[in-house]
Amino acid sequence: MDRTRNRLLACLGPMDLALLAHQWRRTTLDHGAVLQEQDAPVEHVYFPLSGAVSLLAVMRGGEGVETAIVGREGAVGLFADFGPWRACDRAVVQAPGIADVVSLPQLRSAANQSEALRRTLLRYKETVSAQAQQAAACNALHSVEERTARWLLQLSDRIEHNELPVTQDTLSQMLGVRRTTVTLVAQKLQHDGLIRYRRGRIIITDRAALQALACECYATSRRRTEAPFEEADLLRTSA
Amino acid sequence: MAVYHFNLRDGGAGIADTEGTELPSIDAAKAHATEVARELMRRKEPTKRTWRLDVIDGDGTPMFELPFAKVDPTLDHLAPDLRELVERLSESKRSLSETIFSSESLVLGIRAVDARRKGKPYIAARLGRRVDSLKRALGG
Repeated sequence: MDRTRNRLLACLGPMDLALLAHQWRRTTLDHGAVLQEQDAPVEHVYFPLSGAVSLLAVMRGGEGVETAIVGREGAVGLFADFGPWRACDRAVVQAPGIADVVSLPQLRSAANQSEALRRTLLRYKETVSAQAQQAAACNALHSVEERTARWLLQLSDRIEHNELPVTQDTLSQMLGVRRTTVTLVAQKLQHDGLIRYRRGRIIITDRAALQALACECYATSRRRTEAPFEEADLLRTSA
Repeated sequence: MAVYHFNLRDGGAGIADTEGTELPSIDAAKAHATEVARELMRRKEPTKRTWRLDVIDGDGTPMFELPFAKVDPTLDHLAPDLRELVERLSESKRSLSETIFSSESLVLGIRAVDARRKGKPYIAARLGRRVDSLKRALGG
């Protein structure tokens, strides 16, 4: 699979990619694998070519809520610049896939040599923090049905598929609500014809209705995630 | 430990909790029901406080009912008599809405049976549930 399947890497010119040419390692993203642990030092940056990774804020008791989700439009393990480079979230593979990995020191040294690389990575970092802000507001202000719809749509956007490898247990963890609550909400969505679920899978059957149910946060986050790529396209076509 | 099912009465066809949850005691089940009710109605209290959880054990024996209005935190500022009034109204509203829903389902069911007899097309499902059986429409 071509490395530029990752949309951040696709934004880079040949010169920038050449800075990292021999540093890559390809890895599989296995369902449930932890790519980085909260508060632990970060050594690698993952650029997914497929699949999706959830970023979770984890409490001492072990409970965590998702703050952002990363697919092939982004990367896991990026830092603006200043150390210490410790993860502020746990990164868990939500949907299996493939990623290209580079060590953080190597990426930093390449970024120090290229303004374009630095700008692309920082621009993405901003959309992740925007996602986290939106998630915080959403968790506080919106109903569990709206949030369920938003989350399913966001994951589906990342993996570009309507069939999601998600159990109700996962859904309950990501949304920070009880399993019974998720069971009742998911059954209601199924009765209304929006989704179908069977063991370990949720299939979106009526995307338009699910979008109508989701809170505004879905559209807001999507717009913000897409904006840097649209700007990059504009730059490319005007150049 | 025992299994409890938290069935939702939402003023329509309702939703059965097919999964069930294992809990140590009836008090734990009551606490769980309270949390689930609050999670389900959060930020939509004005419309969802009419809902109710009917809790049954693994054999289907009714254990207790929890009207959402009883644990609606947005009603906490009301004087006790006023709150009781809101709780009673919520219960009546849900019950009325369920009666309307089941009457409509009954009519659809009768039409479906009649249409099938004549070999004509008919509405086979409503909100994901089949309506072409009169027994089902009658709540059987």
